[in-house]
Amino acid sequence: MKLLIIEDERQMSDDIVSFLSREDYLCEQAFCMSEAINKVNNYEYDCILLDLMLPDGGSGMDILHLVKQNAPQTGVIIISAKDSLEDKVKGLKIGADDYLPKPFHLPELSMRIFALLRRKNFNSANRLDTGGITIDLLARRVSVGKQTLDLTKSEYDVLLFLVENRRRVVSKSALAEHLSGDMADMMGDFNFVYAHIKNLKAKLTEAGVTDCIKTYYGTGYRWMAES
Amino acid sequence: MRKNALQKKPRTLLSRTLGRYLACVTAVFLVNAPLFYLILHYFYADAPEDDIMVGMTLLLLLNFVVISVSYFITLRFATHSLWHPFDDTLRKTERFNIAKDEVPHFNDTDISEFNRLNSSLEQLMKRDHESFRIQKELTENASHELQTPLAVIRSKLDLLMQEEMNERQMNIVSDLYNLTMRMSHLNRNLLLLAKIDNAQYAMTEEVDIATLLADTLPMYGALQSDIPIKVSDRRSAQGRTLKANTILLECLLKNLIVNALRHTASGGDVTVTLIDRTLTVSNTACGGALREETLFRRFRSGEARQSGTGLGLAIVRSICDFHNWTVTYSFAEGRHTFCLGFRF
Repeated sequence: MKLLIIEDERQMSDDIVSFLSREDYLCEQAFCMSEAINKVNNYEYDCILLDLMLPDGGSGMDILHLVKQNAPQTGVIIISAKDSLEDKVKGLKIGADDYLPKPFHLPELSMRIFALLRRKNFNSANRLDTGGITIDLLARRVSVGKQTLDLTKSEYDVLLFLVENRRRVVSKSALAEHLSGDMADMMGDFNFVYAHIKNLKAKLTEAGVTDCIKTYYGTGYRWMAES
Repeated sequence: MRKNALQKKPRTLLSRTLGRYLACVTAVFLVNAPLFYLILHYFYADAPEDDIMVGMTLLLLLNFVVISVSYFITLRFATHSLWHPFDDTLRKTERFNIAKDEVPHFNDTDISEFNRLNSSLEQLMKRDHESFRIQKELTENASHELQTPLAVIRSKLDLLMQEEMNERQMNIVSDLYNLTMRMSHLNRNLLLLAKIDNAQYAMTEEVDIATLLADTLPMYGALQSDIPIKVSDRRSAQGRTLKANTILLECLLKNLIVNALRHTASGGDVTVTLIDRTLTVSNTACGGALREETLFRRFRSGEARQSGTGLGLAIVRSICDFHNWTVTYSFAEGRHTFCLGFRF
């Protein structure tokens, strides 16, 4: 999978690259408008992360237009510090696939990329098998062997988030934000995440799947099973 | 008349009034001149001694009438037109809204005091307006500029989380996470307030608040599944929809309900009630009543703050002000109640 990260903040861009390198993604970076246009014109990518505000003048929307002309099958995720609805609507209308306002958690970004690539590749399986459980992504159903687990929406979301970030430790706050958006920080603490994890673990254990979710001192979680 | 006023040299209010009065006396006197002539002719010229007394009395009376009539006319009509520019200034000042309008333009008048008043008022308003604009811009720019470093800090933390760490280190990272979350939330809220003040959410549409509630309610379940949210809809058939900005209305509900959830002890509940023109959100209180006067101010909360940004209720107030709605707080039978009054 080839990714292009168009982002003028060098540190941010490097962090994204090093975080995503744990997957088998090939990441390329562009830090300004001319560089981005050059790369978009000359190479093909599976997914492009696009920051709307770039230095050397010009808006990310122009690049979006260009991408949609040259290679319409490319997935585009807009990452923007301008959390404005007009930009979101405009971007999605031109053909962006997703919009993620800054600041975001890297696991969230990874999840969005994963979901986007899955949608783009029609032949990819809509089933995830990991650690003895099977997740049916279309039906949003989780089963162990023949037994279907009865999960609430939040528990399913937690599980999928952990599974899709399976080589990494995911922080409690990333999970909180994934579950409830900006309501999470209105709550002031993220203890509700703990409750969902506890319930999920109990249900998994009951079905015979144990030790799949590892807790790191109550602040981070990780899906332990490989693939 | 205004055109004339522009050309006239401005004079003080006193001299203008005096001028009008003198003109009026002269006019009334001239109108009554034949009467004076008649009295003089009849009672003085060829009349016996006794009649002179009557003539003097009549003359005095007539003088009195002339003076009082002109006085009355001056007060009733001339003053009204003289004070007209003042009235105009007063009206414009009353309507002046620092957040919305431009500084009003005051017309030139032929009265020097009013000219002075107008120019100093205009200066004052301009300065106010300017400092208000700068303050708004500062908030908005600062929030924008902070967004990027915050995003970088957060991504660094996400990376740090992947390293091998002991419990102490992990707890430090976790504290940092919470702080950056709080900071970015604060930042977002300040930006939101600035945007509401700037009227950047001017677009309104017809919204049914019950639909909006039904859409968002399941999300609250993810936050606090042990505190039930009860919704009761007691509206009549009409008045189902109201004119509002959907984004702001959603934000308002979120703030009120999450706030209620946060301050409810386990075992309590949150109740949302819809009656024709009002919406109330009430919850079982942990403590006593909150102080209403500071409740809706920025960075002031009713009790010692444990968490949150202290902006939630300020946002609620701001959104209500934007839509010309009312929001009140009351405390009864161990329940906090926030009541919104809509205007359709």
